[in-house]
Amino acid sequence: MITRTLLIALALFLAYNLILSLAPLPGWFVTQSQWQENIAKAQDYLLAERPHRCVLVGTSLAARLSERHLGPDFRNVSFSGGSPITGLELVRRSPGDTQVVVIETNLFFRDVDDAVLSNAFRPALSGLRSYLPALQEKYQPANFIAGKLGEKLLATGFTAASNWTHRRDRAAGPAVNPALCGQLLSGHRKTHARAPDPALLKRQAARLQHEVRQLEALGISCVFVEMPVDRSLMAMPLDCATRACLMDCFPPAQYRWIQPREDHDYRTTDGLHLTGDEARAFAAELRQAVLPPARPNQRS
Amino acid sequence: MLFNSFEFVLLVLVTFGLYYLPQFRPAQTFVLIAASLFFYAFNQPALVLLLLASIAINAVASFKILHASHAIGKKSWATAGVVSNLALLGFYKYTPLLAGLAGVDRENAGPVGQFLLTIPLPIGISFFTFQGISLLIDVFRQTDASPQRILRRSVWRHFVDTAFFEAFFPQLVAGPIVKAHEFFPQIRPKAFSEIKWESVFRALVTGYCLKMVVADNLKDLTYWIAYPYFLQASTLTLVSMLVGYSMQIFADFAGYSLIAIGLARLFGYELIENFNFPYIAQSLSEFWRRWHISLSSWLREYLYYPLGGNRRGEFRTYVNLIVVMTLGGLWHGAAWSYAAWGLFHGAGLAVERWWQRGRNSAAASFSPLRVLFVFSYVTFGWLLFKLPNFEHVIAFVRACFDNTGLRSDTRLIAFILLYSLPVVAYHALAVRRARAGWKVPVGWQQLAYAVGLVALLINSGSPGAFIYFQF
Repeated sequence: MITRTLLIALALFLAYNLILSLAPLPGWFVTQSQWQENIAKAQDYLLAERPHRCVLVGTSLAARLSERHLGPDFRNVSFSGGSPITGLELVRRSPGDTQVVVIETNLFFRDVDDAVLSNAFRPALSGLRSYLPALQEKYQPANFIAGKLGEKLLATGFTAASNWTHRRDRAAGPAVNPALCGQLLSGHRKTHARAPDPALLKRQAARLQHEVRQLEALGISCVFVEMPVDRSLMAMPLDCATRACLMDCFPPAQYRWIQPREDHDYRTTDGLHLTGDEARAFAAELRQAVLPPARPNQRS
Repeated sequence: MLFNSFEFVLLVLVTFGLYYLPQFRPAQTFVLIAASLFFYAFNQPALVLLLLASIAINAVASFKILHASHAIGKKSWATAGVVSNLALLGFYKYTPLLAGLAGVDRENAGPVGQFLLTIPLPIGISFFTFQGISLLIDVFRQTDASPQRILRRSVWRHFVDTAFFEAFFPQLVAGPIVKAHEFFPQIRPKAFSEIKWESVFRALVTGYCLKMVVADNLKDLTYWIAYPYFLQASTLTLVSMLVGYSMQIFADFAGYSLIAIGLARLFGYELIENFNFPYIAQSLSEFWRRWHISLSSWLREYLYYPLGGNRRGEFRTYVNLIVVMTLGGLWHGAAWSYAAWGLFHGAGLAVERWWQRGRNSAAASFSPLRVLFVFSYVTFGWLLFKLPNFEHVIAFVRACFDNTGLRSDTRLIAFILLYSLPVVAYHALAVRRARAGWKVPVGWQQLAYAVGLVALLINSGSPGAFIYFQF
């Protein structure tokens, strides 16, 4: 029984790899959770060709900016629930043709996500993924089954079908519910009312400096962007302490900083994350501000 | 050390290799003890001393009980041993809770208060202390002529057997809780030819699939049953997540138990089945005969029956049920939410027993409605597990009623349904088997296990500790 079972398993595994190699069906696989999305994003970054001149790294705030609206020269490697340092590590270890890294500063003090990096750079496995696509996180069978299931079956009973088709780029964002937004914003105000531990800020800033220096040694320049949040949060102790710490480490005289416009009240879904329209507009602004002219012979 | 980590697989392979070498046959027990202590020390080296202390207490006390010349001596040693076990458990597990009750505050506490609030919780302490208590009571109850004679005459041999019984790594940190009279008679040299390979294979594949494919994936989906995230979820999304959590906790714990059973069989030992398709139960009392069987039978044998069981009148029976279940809840964790969960089940059992007075308690036929009712009751109770803060429980329930107009997260619901299917199918097959004596054809079994293996390789969730490791 055991031998036959193992043989059947091997046959199924090889068949699935063959199907994926012949017909990868882009758009039919949807990630199932934030964690998986982060893993898939890291794996995709490593496996794909990397002709992008600009890479955006950050948290869920920057993840809101769709690559569709940032433009073809931009790659967004921001991890929801994660840290910009995770993205920086990813770029440092596999820079490709990157010329500029745009670093979200809002929550820079979060710890690097070692689980994402160790998964992405796992010895032997990371190499095998390009030959055996079934080993890639995004091609989990559940992502296809539930993806199609959700789209075809459940969407007939709900009005969220449009939410589903926009799922691949989160720039559409969920609808704003004013009451909930107010509740969540109130919660964020409590969190942002306390500045992070100065020792934590200092430690993470030093880590960030180390990452930036290493990227600069590779010929990659770094730009800092403070993602717009609700105006009431921008002046709170957490945001002020974070901003002050980073501006001290990366003075505007030496580094390019992109900050939210003071003449505009950015609309958010929960106080922190931009609405779809705002994200679209900000992505365009970021592209205009960051994109350097293309160098001749930029592809190696 | 997680059961699905590279380090653990390596440990099992090395131990297995040494265990069945002819040169090590006389020392097989020592091989397993060494592997078990290494397993325990891997994450918390200093706390191995605690495990050794527990082993020493139980070995000495049980030996003294057996060789005490008078009944008073036996009782004294038994009492001292049980109290020592409970003291260890109480100190490491419940001191922070009691300190908090006494008003010790993390921010304002002095050095002593800080120490009391930050005592580390040794992994598996709830399990190995209960096993120790089981040993003491079993020895206290046995007679020389008893066929359950479980102790050897040699002090040293008894100490080794006790160390093995308590520390055996497959069940050390999350059960099944093994009773001394079930385990000690099995301790003898084992031969490679005695391994029931097919049985091991089935248990391990099913266990790892339940844990890594079902539970670990559901974990990432039910994460949003956390304050304040659930505030913005629709009613349907909230209910789906709660049902998903119900599936997750079953898959996590039953998966772990099956892995433990499979690993134990690899070394020639049989552990008690810990889950018997609990979600097909048609009553709460049946649920507790199917869920975490080793704990519920331990509580029944060592707590419920000594309290009088159902032999001291109806009212006392209800009280006993409530007390035992509340204490059983507290066993899970040092927080009032766990006591509330236990009380929730105790009250349910008491009400169910009262309701069934004078009625024919045996179900005439399988009733999906009864199954659904019990499942719903149990699932609601899991909310107290997931949200230790009562205010958040109330907020969750309120959100279920208030958020009917919000848009549902169809992707989340679809994935929860998908990962719940294996648990539903697992239980449905059990119902079919029980009612019609039907067995899945061998070919389909092989296909199912093959799909499980492939799913393990390419559809596992993010690694996470077993939920019951925290107990």
